[in-house]
Amino acid sequence: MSKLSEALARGEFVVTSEVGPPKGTRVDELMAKAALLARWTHAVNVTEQQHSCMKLSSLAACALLCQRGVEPIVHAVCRDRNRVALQSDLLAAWALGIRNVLVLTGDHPRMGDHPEALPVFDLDSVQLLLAVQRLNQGFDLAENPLEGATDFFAGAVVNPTSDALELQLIKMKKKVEAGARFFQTQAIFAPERLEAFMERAAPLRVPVLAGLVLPKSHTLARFMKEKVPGMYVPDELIAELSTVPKAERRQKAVEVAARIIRRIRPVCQGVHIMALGWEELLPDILAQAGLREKPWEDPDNPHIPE
Amino acid sequence: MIVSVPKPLEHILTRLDGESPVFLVGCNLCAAACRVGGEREVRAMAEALTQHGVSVAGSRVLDGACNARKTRRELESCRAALEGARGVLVLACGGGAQSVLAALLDLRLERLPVHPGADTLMQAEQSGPAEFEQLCSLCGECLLDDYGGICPVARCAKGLLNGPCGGSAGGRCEVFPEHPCAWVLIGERLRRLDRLDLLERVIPPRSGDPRAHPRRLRRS
Repeated sequence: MSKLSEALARGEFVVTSEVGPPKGTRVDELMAKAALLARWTHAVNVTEQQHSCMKLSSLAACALLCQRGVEPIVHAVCRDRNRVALQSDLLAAWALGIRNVLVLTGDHPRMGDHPEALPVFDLDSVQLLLAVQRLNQGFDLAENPLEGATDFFAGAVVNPTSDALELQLIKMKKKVEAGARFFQTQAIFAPERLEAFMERAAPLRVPVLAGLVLPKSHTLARFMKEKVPGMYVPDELIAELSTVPKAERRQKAVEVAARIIRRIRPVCQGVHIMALGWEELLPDILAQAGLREKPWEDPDNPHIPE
Repeated sequence: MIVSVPKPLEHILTRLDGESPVFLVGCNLCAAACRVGGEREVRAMAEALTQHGVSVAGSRVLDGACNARKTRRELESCRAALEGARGVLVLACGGGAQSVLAALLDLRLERLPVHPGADTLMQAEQSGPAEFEQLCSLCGECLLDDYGGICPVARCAKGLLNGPCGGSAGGRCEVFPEHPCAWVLIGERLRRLDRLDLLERVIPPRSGDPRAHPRRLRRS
């Protein structure tokens, strides 16, 4: 059973985070980071060929995490596999103990380190959700019965700060129809944007985990504003970060992240924190946001793996 | 039309590899419109080849290289020059080059190698004197009715059918910023028609393979 789905069903404010597999076979750092994150989160996303850069697969890394008692969210991406391979990998993921799947379109190969690669996109994200739903019902996309169905807790992504918000909302609704039972969002730096979005998304009655990237520095914030399509970073935040001395940047990142979480907590069902290497700050962020009282010291905390 | 661009002369010379004389074939339809294989380009190619020591046995600008029967007839009228040639260079699309090969095989001129003188890019609309834009990818099943007349298969970099990805910003495509995001265009168009509801339907996976090939059509 997915602990993530259980926590959401209980109405807990859910926390997820993420790790990226290595380019290569050395997984010890990934495992250590995920184990650390698992102590403070409900589940850990494992990215798949992020930014179209060839890495060890999300599926393999998730299987390793399952063995260590960490609950992963596997990423299923439309870029590299056709419907046969995608469904096959989903069956494999289920058999390996993976219970959560996040469905994404995926960046175009042009954006990554193998720009000449053939883009597949045989299915789009809505259609891949349909595939997950069908596998959950015991059939494949060609209506063949399965020997053993899956029972994935499927999620999807949405960008609340997109300048084509109307179209994002229409697509989000279709994702819900196609079986998405939770959403993780593009990074939110302006809480009022999320609030406005949630006003329109709330009728869908699906849990939304707001994406949060640790604002490590004003340079990073400015980079995201200028270079990441569809990401909105308010100028005031960049200005606020630019006055912070280097030695106090970590403290500032914690403060800003906690401030955003406190503000958005009433309107969404959780947060997805992308710590970008500062994973050890997670407990401070959660404590400052009033989410966890040092949960790692609580022997009954269900989220601490053995 | 089928849009092609000339291959670089150095490349052509390398592939001809001493085959002299060559027979030049152009095409007065698409290839002429893209300035790849009309009368003017065939003449210019003949001059360029001669300057580089490759003699030209003859040339013919076909009236539509993609018409197999016409091509055979036209090339048959050039039989003498073709028989004196050691190779054929086709300044037309890849389909045209292969139609020329089929005609040569039919005319028992199978010893002649056929070289493409152009790279074939797309079926496209000519939007300016020297500008072409792909609006259709020949996917085999027209979906324009569902998208306000704007094709996401050809014009979205990912060919998505259920809405935009997260990479649309300022109305541009993240992958090819010189292109507008097809989904923004589709959204504007359907809003104008008051038919945004068309986008609310979940479009299931396609049953026909949009990249299926080879294709053949035989009308009864």
